[in-house]
Amino acid sequence: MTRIEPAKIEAMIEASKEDLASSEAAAAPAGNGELTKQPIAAEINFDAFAAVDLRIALIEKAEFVEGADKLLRLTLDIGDAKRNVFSGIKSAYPDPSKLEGRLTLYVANLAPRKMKFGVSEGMVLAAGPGGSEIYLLSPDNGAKPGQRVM
Amino acid sequence: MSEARQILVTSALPYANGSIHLGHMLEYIQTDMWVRFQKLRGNQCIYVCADDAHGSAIMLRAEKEGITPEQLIANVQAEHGSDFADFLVDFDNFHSTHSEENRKLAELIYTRLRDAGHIATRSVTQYFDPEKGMFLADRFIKGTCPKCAAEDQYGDNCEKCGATYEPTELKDPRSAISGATPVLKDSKHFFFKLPDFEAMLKQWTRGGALQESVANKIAEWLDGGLQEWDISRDAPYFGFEIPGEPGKYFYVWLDAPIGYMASFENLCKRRPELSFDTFWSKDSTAELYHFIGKDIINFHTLFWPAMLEGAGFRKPTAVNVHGYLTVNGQKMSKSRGTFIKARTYLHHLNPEYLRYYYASKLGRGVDDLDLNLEDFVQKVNSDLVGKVVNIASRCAGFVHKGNGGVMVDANPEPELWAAFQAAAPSIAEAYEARDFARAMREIMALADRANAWIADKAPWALNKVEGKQAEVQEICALGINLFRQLVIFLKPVLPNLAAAAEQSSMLSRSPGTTMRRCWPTTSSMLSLR
Repeated sequence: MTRIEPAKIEAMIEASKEDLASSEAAAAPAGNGELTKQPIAAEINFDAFAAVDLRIALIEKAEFVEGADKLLRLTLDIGDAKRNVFSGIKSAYPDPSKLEGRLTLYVANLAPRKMKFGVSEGMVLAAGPGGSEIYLLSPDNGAKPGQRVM
Repeated sequence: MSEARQILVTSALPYANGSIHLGHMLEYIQTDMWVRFQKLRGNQCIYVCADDAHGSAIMLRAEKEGITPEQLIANVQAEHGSDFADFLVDFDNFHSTHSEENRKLAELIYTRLRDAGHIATRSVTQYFDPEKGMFLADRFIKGTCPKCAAEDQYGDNCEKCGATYEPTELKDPRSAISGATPVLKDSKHFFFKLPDFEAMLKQWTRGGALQESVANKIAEWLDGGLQEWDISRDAPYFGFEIPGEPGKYFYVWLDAPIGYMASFENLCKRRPELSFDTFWSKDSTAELYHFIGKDIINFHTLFWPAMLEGAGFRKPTAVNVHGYLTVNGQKMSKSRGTFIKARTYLHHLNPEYLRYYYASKLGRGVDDLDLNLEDFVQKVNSDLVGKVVNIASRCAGFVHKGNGGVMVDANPEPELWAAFQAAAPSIAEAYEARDFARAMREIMALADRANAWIADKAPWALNKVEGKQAEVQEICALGINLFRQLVIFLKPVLPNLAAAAEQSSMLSRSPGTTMRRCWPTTSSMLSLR
C-alpha cells in the first residue's frame, strides 16, 4: 500500500467532469435533435393507422377569425364536399390569403369539435413546434381534392 | 465460544437506471465491513442484494435507448456487479427484482395480505398523458409553480422557491414525456392498509430495532396517524402484474424489499446448506439486518415490517440507517467534478483507501458523512501508510537481511504485546455496534504505540552497534507481530492488505494459527522455532 499522490485526486476530479461531458454527449442527439425533443410514440399496428382517413384538400378560403389570436378559418374543398376547419396556424401564416388555392393534407374522419367560433370539422396537417415554425404539408403536383392518402 | 449466530444482511437495492457513485458506495462498504467482521468471528453471515429493476423510469429509459427494459436491466446489473466486486464488496448473492423468485414471493405476500383483509381498493384521480396513454407520476409532470410562477417545475415541488403542492395545482401542466397537456382521469388503485399494523409498529420501532433518532422520527409519523399505502400502478408499467387484476401492476416499492427475500431464495438454490425458512419463517431465530440510507426509512421501518407481519413472515432484527455523503462539504456536484462514479474512482485510486476513510468516519449515527478530499489524502497517507504499513517497512528489512527472513522467538516488551491483545474485545465490540470510527481510532492508537516503541528502540541505530544484532532481531520480530495484529483488526476494512500480508513470506511460513482464523481471540505470537 502506497501513499496517495494528490495528482491522482486531481485526475479523478477532472475525469468526473469528463464523465459529465460524455454523458451529455451520449444524450446529445445523433442528428438534428428532433427525435430527442419529441421521441417517437409507442408502436401501433396497421389497422390503427388505417383508421385515420387522410384526404387531399384544396384550401378554398383562409381568413382571420374575429376574437381568436391563434386561429385561421379554412374552407376546404375535398372533392364532393366542403369542410370548415379552424386551424391554429395563424402565427406562421399572418397573410391567410396566401394559403388560398393550395392543396394540403386533411384528417377527414376526426370527430367534429365545437369551438367558441363554430364547429371545426377535422384538421389539416402541419409540422413544427409552433409559433412562426409551422409548416403546412402539401402533396406533389397532380393530387386531386378528395383523394385518399395512404 | 458461544454457538455461531445465523445472520442475514442486506444493503438497499440500487436502482437499475444509472451508475454506482461514491454516495452509493458508502452504504455497500459499511455493510460489507460489518459482514466481513461477522464472518471473521465465525458466524454464519449471509450478505444479499439485488438490482431494483422495476418502475416507469426504467421503462421510459429503455424506450429512449431503443432497447427492451430486460436488456437495459441486464446491462446495468453487469456494470453494478463489477463495480461492487472491485470495491471488494463481497455479496453472497447479487440478484434482480425482475426475477421469478421475486414474482412468486410478491404474489404470495400480496395474496396473503389480501386474504387477511389488509388490501383495500378505491378510485384515484390522477393526471393522465393522453398522447402517451399513461398515468403520470409527479416527476413526469412539469409546469409553472403556483406559488412563485417559476417555469419548468416538477409536479410535486418547486426547485426555485421550495414550495410543495399537488400536481393539479401546477399552472400550464404538461407531460414531461410527450409534452401533451395532461387530463384528469380516474382509475382503480389498490391500497395496503398500513393502519391495521399501528400497534405492532409502535412496539417494534421502540423495541431496539432502530437507532434512537430514527425511532423518534418514526414516532412523529406514527403519532400523526398512518395512511393506507397505494401499491398499484396502471399499465403501461415495467413490473409484476397483480394476480387477478389485468392491467394493474405492483408499485416498484412493493416488490423492491421483497427482492431481499428473493435474492436469498435464489442463493439457497446454490447453497444447499441454507434454508429459506430458517431465516424468514415467523418464528425464525436467525438475525436479519437491513442497511439503508435515511431517504428510505419509511419503506423499511413501516411498510416493510407491516407487510412481513401481515404475510406471516418474521420482521427485521434491526434496520441500520446512515446519512448522505457530501464531498468537500457540499452536495456532490457534476460541474465541480465531485459527482464521482465508482468506476472513475477505481481508475485512479485503490478501493481500500476509500474503505478506510469511510470506516474512520462512520459512527452509529445517521449524520451525513463528508468526503473531504484533502483530509482523505492526508488521513490515508498518515494512518495507513505512515502508521500501519510503516511498522512493517521499519522491521521487515532487518529480519530479512539479519536472520534470513525468520522471526526469532522472543517478546522483548510483554506489556505492549499484552496491550494489543487486551484491545481485541473493545475493538470487536465497536465493530459489532457498527461504530467503525471508534474501531479505527482504537486501532490507530495501538499503531501509534507500536511506532513510538520502535522509534524509541531505534533498531536502525542499534544494528550498527557491535553485539546488538540479536536485540535488533527481537525488536523487529515483535514489530512484525504487532503489525500482524493490527492487520487482523483491520481485515474487515482492508481485505486486500490482509490477504497480501497473509501471503508474505514472513507471515505465511509461521506454523500454527493463521491470521484467517485467529481473530479476535488471538494470543499466540508468530515465530519460527
